[in-house]
Amino acid sequence: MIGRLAAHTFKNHLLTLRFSIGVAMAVIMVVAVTLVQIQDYDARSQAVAQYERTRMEIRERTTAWSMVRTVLEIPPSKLSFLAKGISNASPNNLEISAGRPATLIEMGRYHAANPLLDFLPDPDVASIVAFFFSFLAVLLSYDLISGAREQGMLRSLLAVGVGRIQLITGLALGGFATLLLIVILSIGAIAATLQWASSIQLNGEVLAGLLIISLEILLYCILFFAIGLLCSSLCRRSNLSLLFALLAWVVLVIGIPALASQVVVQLDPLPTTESLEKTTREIDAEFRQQVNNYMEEHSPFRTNRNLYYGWNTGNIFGFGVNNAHYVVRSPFQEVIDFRRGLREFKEPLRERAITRLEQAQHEYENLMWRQVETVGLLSSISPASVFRRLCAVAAGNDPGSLRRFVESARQMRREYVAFQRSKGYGSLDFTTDQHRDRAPLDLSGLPPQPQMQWNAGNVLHDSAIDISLLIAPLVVIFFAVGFIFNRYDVR
Amino acid sequence: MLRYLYAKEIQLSLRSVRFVIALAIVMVGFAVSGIVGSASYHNQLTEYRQRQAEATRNLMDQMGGLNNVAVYQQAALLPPSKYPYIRDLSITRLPECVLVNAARHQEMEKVLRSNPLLYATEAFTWQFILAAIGGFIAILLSYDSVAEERRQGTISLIFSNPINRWKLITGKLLALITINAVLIAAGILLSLLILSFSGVPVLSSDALATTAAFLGFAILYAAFVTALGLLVSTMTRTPSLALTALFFIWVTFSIIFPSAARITAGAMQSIPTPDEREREIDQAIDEIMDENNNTRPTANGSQSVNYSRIPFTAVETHVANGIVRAIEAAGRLQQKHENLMFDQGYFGLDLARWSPVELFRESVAKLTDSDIDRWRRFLTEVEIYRRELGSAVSALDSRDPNSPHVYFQDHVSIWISLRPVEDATQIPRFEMREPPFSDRLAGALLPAAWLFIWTVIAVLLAVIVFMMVDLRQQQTSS
Repeated sequence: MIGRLAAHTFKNHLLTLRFSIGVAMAVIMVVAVTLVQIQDYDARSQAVAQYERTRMEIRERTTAWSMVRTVLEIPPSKLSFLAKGISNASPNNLEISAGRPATLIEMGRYHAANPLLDFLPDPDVASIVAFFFSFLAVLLSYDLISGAREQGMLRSLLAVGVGRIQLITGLALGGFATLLLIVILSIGAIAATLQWASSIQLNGEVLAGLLIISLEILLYCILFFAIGLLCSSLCRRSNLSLLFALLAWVVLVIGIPALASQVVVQLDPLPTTESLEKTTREIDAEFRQQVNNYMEEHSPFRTNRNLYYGWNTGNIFGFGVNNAHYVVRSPFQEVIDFRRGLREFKEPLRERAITRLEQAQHEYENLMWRQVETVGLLSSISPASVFRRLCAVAAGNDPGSLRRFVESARQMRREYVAFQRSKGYGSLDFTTDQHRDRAPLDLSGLPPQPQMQWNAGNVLHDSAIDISLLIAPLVVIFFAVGFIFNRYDVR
Repeated sequence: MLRYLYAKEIQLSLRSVRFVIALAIVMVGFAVSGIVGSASYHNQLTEYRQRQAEATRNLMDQMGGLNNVAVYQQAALLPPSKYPYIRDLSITRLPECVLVNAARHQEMEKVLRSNPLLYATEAFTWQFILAAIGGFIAILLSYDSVAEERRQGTISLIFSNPINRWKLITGKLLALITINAVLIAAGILLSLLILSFSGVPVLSSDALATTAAFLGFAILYAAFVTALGLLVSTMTRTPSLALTALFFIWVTFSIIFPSAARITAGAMQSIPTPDEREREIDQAIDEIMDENNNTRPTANGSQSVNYSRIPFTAVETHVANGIVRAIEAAGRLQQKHENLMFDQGYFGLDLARWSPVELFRESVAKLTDSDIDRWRRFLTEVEIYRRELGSAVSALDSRDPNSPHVYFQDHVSIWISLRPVEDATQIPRFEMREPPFSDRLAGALLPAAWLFIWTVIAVLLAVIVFMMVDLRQQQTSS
């Protein structure tokens, strides 16, 4: 009986105008958005490749190195068309060297070609699903009980001996089948678009991402279907149930996501970076003061003004923008000895300064992260927010993935420092003129740069809580629907 | 008769549960927007002042950092909007700082404006409440205005009296617009109270005029949605169908239209990528510098270049002039790229104007001076300031017999004077002029006029359809 009821509901849905219009619009929208976002991905990938090429050219032109310094590009995710997540606002490269720790605070270049287009929304598949599919799911379920009561179908069905639980289960299963069909059609359209009109290959990673996101879309749609069903079971008239369902939709999809984010951002704002900059200046000034004192005491130029050698203690955090630093050798032994001494004096000072800077940056990033967690906690009431987070995680454009990448960049910096040391250079050298007899830094054996790796295990790990945030209300709502429908007056 | 029908509709609406729900949503929404808007106002102002202080400090550092050399590179800051509670763009990625020097202005600087780890959402402002939630409430109040009466058959009873159809629909329309207006005004009043208590200057004449104009646009928008609601309600036989259709239309206008406009603008009016822009500028600089090197004079003295030496040799003057030409060429290219970006942005916004919801947003954006024109004006004023700065530097430098001088360090290209400047006030500072209310209102009236035309069309259609359609009770088929 449940099967027949489900089949009947499924067939009824297929014949409705709202289903036909809704599915047509849904498929057109996801295909259009996929095509546009693929173009965006291509442009970003080409830009990253160009930067990499330029860097390699510089590296090839450079014959002598005294330090390792690099810019880590954060390549766009292949699955960005599904969910852009934070990729529009987050930095797309990290600059690191022995004296410059990786941080999220200094922003890289813009990903987007034109930030002025931000006056209009930038849709991806996740946003289309969050807004439109949930709306469609509500439309499919709001009159399943109240509408059937109005038409007298409930009485007829119960009169022929169909149990109430059987009836509601059949209606729900029929709805699930309809939603499954919508998801299959949409994902199929996306896969076809990828296959025939894009540079993105349907490899294991893309297919796994599509599969994960399909299941999440289905779960999300079922939740809104359940909300519509709950409204339907609470009302005796279909227009009233529709009203409540749409009210719930507006609050959950539009109201709460904006509210949660704004309440946290404005009432518990991130402090400006001024305090961090002040700390940086203090560390730098302290370092320079100590170096100046040393130089005052030991400089050979105090006694021999004929020695020509210009140096600059410099700002230890501002190395300019060049990627290569050439070995400079001074012809004066006195200067060489002095610089060797200075280097040995500066080495531990710099180490300490960099560690302090890293700590200050880390503390600021923790504040950023705390804000993200608070917004996440507040917006968890909204399935739309939870769903968009899930999609961003599946696409690798979530805060967690970026944070992991930054951590790996920090680790890489440590490896680079160790590498420089293993070659006999100071951890934070930027000129090595004191090493008259030493060969330039040999870059062979340099540790590889970290890559932004998509990993299904990470995705599932990061998604576990959010998936449970969709499943838990779903279970509660279905129990509530069963309970309410058991007492529903079908007259 | 019209007055009677109007009063009856108002009474009916005031007694309904949905009015209470709408009132609760509006009051809660506006109260929250008041709290959030107040925090946003103070946060933005504090941040702006901090950055201004930082810019002054940087200038002093530049002046003191080099021996007897004054460097003029200024940060031009975009001041925060005065009305973040009406419309707030602080959470976007739009730049608010440009580094300016006498030769050109640098590309818009990217600074950490908001937490880059947060997912983008809309700001919870009056505009958001009206465009998103207000639209829904207007639908909520109007969707069954005709369809429900038709379903119950009460409309036939009404027409058994000598009542003109147009009077009935006009009475309904006016009553619903009045209720919407009262709801919006009550919400705004509550929000103003909260903002006022938290120290936001909402009672200044400028702020009050802006609020009044916003209220006018909001009522116009509510009138459009109400007229649309009545039209659809008249055309459909059941309230459920009316609500579903209205929601489809509303989602299309508020989400699908602007998204499609962005997509179309990106696809139809492509612009160079940041990488291509950078390469084009680098290439132009290289060409000029190569040409300059090839024509370098060789006579009279050293070939080495030392810009901190006075006076410049012929070689140094030649190279310095080449640098200036290269920098100016780069500045021209940069402006060309910015123009392309603005053209694309304007094109997208023009396309989005097909949506009445976007017309409402645009009118509010222009009213509060937080639209794309603000950034256009910002860059124009920065360009004017750049010339002022250049003139000031030249004037200061002209006191030196060996002027002009130029200094080129790493990738930062700056005009300098070798004459020390002890007083920072001698260097002009950037101050962006805020447009007066009359200018802002004039800008907002064009999109508002388009919204008015949409509203008139919707009202006329609602009246015409109401007068033509068969309004008898639907016969339930077995």
